[in-house]
Amino acid sequence: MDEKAVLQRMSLLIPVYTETESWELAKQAGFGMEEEGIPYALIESLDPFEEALAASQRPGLGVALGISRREGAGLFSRILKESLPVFCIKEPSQTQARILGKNGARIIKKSPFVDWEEKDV
Amino acid sequence: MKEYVAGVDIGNATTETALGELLDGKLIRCVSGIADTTGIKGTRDNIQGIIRSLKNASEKMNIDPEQIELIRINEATPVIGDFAMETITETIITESTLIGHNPDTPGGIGIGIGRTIAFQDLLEAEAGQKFIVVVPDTVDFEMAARGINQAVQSGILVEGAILKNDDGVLVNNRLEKKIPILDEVEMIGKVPIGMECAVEVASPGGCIDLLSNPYGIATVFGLSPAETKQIVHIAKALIGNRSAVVIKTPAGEVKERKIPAGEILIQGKSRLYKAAVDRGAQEIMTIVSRVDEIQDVTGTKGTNVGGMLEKVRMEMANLTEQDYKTVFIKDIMAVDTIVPREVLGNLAREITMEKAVGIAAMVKTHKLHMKRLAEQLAEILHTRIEIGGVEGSMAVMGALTTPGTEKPLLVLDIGAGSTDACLMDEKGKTKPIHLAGAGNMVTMLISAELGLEDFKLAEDIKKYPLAKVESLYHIRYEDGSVEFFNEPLDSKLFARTIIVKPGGWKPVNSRKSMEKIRQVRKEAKEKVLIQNILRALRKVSLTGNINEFEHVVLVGGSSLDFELGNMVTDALSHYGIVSGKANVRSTEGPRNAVATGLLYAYLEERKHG
Repeated sequence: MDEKAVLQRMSLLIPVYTETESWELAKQAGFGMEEEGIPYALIESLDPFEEALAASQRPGLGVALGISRREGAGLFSRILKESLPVFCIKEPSQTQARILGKNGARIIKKSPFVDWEEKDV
Repeated sequence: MKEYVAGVDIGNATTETALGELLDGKLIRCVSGIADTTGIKGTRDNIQGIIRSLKNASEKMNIDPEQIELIRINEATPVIGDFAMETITETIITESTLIGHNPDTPGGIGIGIGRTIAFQDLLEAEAGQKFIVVVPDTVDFEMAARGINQAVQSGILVEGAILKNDDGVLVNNRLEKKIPILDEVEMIGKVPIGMECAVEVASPGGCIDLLSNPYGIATVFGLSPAETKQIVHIAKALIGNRSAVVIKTPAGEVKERKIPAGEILIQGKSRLYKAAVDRGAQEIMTIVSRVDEIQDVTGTKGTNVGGMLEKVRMEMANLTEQDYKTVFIKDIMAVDTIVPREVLGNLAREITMEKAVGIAAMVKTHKLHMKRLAEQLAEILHTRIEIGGVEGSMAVMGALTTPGTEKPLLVLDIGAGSTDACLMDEKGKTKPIHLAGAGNMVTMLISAELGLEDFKLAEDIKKYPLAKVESLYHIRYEDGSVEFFNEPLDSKLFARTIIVKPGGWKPVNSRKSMEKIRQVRKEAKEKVLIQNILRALRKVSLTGNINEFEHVVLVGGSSLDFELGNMVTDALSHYGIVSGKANVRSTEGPRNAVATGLLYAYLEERKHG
């Protein structure tokens, strides 16, 4: 697949940037998006938050997730003008990672967010 | 010589003061005061509210409340209203036979028919047989999908699945053969095993078709005409769902039980009228309109309506320290409604829309205790207290200070508990009436029809406009206008319908759309307030013909409602009546009419010796 085609494909899904060590959490976030019916891709990254922020600002769905041990799990979206995550969980549980994924999908679906604070950590 | 006189109006919600500064008997300055009414109108508990309202006005006048020489309170024939909801029908499921709810994300699509089987028994099931697998929350989606795939490979026909977890799409995406899957079924343990079952999931944006059709269910289960008649209520409860399950159990049955709703007995001057509650509000109101002057209203003993009317009577007797037997219900108002009720015997909080009648009742209590209230107030404030004129007449006096008004004038005061009207003719003669049904009844209807548990939320929906948070930076109001913000909004509000209150926004945690909530709110106001205004006009009129009025002025706190003024103007314009909100003393808007009337009536009396 050439670079243009890759970019085109990437613009139609939610990228989840993750360190190798956080792969399991990233999978859970992906399951959250899958349940909501939105396509996603897990991508290994050395700086997940930075890459997720950049991806969220590019043309396309405008939503990206970053997961790292240092920063936790962050949901970035073009719906926020600032370069800050819409949600950020320092030490996410598997349930919370899945909810974060669901909420990423819900930005696109324009559905109310699921409250991750009320769920078990 | 300067003196200070105050008119105080104790309303159901607020206590209002009109404080006048008089120089040689002439009014040279007038200010208003307002405070929340403390306690039920007309009781000793009101004193705190009266004092606060007087203080509020005194501060504006820059005097000490003790300088007030005369306080006139309204001769509030205390009209106190109450209301109740009488459900006429009730859907009951004996044994578990239906699961019809709308999870956000069911899996798969289509219809599956088979016998229910527990997930752990699936692999041992007989090949060639059709099954609907029931998956508990201890089984995750990968395990569930693996199990179903294995079963299918060994020849077991898995036609559908019922899950407790919100994993419908995840399971479906991992299946080799796609099946309809209903997830988020809370009471999965109660799903009967080994029974005939049908699962249906519609495409996104669509509604189920087979299971919401009685003949569809009959086809699936091979029902006789008599059995088909029984399951009509299942089909009814499933209309509009995206997914549903129906399970046929041998002993299971669903029935719509007609609750004995009872009769309302209305004692007129010369005869007793009877109205059956289950015949609906229209019939009740037709009978009420036939009664010349209601002496008392009772309900059949042992029914909801009987209990509710006696409760109103008992509460009023306690509050006003009157003998229970001397408290009479002088008016009732009935409104038809449809309310969502949880189906008895449900598995996933299914609801069905039940027919109901909302009934408001009004009690006129004894006037004596107003005298007692005045005496107690005089003792506390060391001021002369007088009971002024009748509330309705005073409201007209106050409303007449609105620029552009003249006698004859009809004043409407829509309160929380009752709707009051008063007509003043050219000669100044007044005809006041009080009717049951007002603001609180509207709140009750909104609360019931939207299935809200929080009465305060329903009250806010009634009072303020709605908007939808469309992004973290903009909202769209119910009239279509859009407002943008520089700072991001609270993420908890994202994609939600909100109530735009002056002090801040409040989210409406309901799946109902903004348009639906708005429609329910408007219809409730139409059914109660507009209908009651027309009823009041007919009652006050000499000929029973609404067209005889030319000018109708709205006073009271409810007139401040953001849409009621326009609704009334629109409704009355069909009869050629000019109507609008009062602007008491050119400054107060529709508020303070009775208090101002009390002060102005005093000035009139003084002028004429």
